[in-house]
Amino acid sequence: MRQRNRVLGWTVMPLFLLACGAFTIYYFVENPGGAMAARLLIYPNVFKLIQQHVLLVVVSSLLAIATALPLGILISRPRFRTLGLVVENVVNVAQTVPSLAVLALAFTFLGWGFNTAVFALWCYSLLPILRNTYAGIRSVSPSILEAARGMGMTPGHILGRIELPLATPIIMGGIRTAVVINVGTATLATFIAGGGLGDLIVTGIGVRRTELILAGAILSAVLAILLDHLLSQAEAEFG
Amino acid sequence: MRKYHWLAIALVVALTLALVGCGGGAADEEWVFATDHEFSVRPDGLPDLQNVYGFQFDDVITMDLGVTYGALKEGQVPAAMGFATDGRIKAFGLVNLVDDKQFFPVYNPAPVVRAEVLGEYPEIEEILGAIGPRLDTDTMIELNGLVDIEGQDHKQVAKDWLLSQNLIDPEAPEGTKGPIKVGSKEFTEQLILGAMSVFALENAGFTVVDQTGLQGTEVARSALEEGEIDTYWEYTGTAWLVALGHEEPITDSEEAFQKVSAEDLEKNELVWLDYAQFDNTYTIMMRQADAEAKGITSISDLARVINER
Amino acid sequence: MSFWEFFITRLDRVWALTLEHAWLILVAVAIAIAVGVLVGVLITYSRPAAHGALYFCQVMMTVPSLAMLGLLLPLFGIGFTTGVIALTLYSLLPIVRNTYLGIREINPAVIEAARGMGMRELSILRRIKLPMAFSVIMAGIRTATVMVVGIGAIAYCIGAGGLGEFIFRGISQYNKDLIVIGAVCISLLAILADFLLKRTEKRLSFRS
Repeated sequence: MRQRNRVLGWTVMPLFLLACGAFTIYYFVENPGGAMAARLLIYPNVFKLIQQHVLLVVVSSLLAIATALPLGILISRPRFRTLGLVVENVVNVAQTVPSLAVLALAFTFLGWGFNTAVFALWCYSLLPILRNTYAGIRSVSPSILEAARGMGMTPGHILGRIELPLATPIIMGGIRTAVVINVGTATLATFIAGGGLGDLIVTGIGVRRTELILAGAILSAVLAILLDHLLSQAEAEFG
Repeated sequence: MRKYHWLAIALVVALTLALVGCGGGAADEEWVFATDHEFSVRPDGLPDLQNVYGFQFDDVITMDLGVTYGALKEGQVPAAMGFATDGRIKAFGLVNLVDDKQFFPVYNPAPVVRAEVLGEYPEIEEILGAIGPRLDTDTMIELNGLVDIEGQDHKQVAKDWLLSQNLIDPEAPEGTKGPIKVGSKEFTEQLILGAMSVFALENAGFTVVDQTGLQGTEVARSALEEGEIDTYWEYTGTAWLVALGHEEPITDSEEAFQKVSAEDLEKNELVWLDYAQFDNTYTIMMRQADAEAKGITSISDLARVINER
Repeated sequence: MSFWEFFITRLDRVWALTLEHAWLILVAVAIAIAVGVLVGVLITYSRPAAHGALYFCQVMMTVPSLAMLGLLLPLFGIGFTTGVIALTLYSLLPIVRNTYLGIREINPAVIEAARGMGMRELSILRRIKLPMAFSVIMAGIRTATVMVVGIGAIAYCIGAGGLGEFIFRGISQYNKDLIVIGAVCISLLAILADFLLKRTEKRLSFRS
């Protein structure tokens, strides 16, 4: 039963979501509802915006994983206990800063464009991954660690064979949160010329063309739901 | 354990790809144009401009309106769109290209008021109508500059100017009439004009609800049409093409005003009060030094240079 | 003009917008609590309903905030109301989920005992389930509140007002000071809200 759900989860749901996305694109390009919306709702442009959006999310998320994971492991080491506590508190405060502000601040220091947007997204999505890596590793029961040490395992072994595997579901949860946040923040990148589906939404709001808003909103929502679903499947695989 | 080897390798590969992707993402094409969201779709905007002048930019980057000036100034794009009365054009060393084919209509701003509100308070016509005729191009550019370059608050700038023109007293009386809901779009000039309306009305004893800073032409216009706001400053050209849906731009200020106000009164019960003399037209800008070096003074020159590459 | 001089000149705007922002959050979270706790309680009685409701809330939270605001715009127009609706939808998941989990985590023996004593369901809810799940529910409320303080910044786009004004104007006018003011105020508001809710939780738990 679980096996069947797993297979369905990896195939049916993603395909369904992709179909929704494809239909949305088709529908709005064929029915832009007016000359103004039609200027943006053409296949090359829509695909370009989707590509930009995906790139923003993928690049920043991978960078975030690559930095936050090792960092999280590092601060979980007993040697760095105090650093770990400090970082945890800093992260908690840092997460109250809204993603829009992080984007805007990055803009003032780095100017506009795709790279700035990626930088801001990377900064912001670091936090959930870092926090969950740290929390996940520290959540491993001390008695298990005792037992492992008793069996003569080296710290490296313990990390690789016990702590990380046990922490993986929590870490995956953090990655999932980070990616979903990134899709959302990437819609804001349009204000600082980062491109992405936000272009459609914001233009639609400005010239009051519902078709533009819906096209951008539905596509970005589908992207978010799709990535969230795929990652929850991955989370279940490791759990 | 194998899972983790695999994961680690995937991460390293991914990181590499990510860095490569980041750097290679910006393929440098020559003629990239920076535009704001509205200009990229409006009938008086980029697509039709390119049609009329017979050229096309290699790539178009969309960003928030105010960012276009900085992008051009910093040398990151060769051309950008803006508004002609923005204080930053001169200050940033930018130049407006001449619209020799007269693609853009004229955009004289005027306070537009709902007829219903004007009927109830006819004195509003004189109060708000006094502002426009005193605003010429240089004044507006200067006021815009105070906000965008000096960083002053737009409300303070509006108030200071009204005081200097003896249009308001330093202390506003108690609000006994109204309330009047004043709106405006979100960019600096609109914020200043909106603030002027607010102070002028308050000075005349009205209670004013400040709804300035609405995002975009359509939001402001719909708000007016539906009575969510009672007045805002609109540009004749914008109203003619976007709100009233015409196709041909009008290039004479007086003619534009007469036609727009007549039609808006008849169809939408909106009254246009006295307009300001300055024309806040869309403009295609380049860096001055760059334009001179390439021998470009008009949009036709630009089209020619791009097509002849 | 230094940053502090700039800040002083904008002080009354800072205050006005902070109040506006706070009010937006307050209304949205209040509605979310009323609806969320109710739904959370109801779905404890039905497994499939629980799955459905939690999945719905999960999907709501996944939708990018700008997209959500954009989708609500044609339906509800610009302004405060649309902002509230969007923020309420985002607050639902933490509150519904925590209410549901908080109640389900209660030791079944306690509930059995209460039933055995002849207590009716409504009494059990009022006297046992909700008080015992209280701290978990509060945690959900806190999470939701901190989250929507941030999302509220984006609601400025559709005319809901709030501290987002500083950030958007700051981008338009290339003014770093405005952006910093906006970012700091929003952060402080979130931290303040979190702190107040923690204290409220402590006060209220001592009573039960």
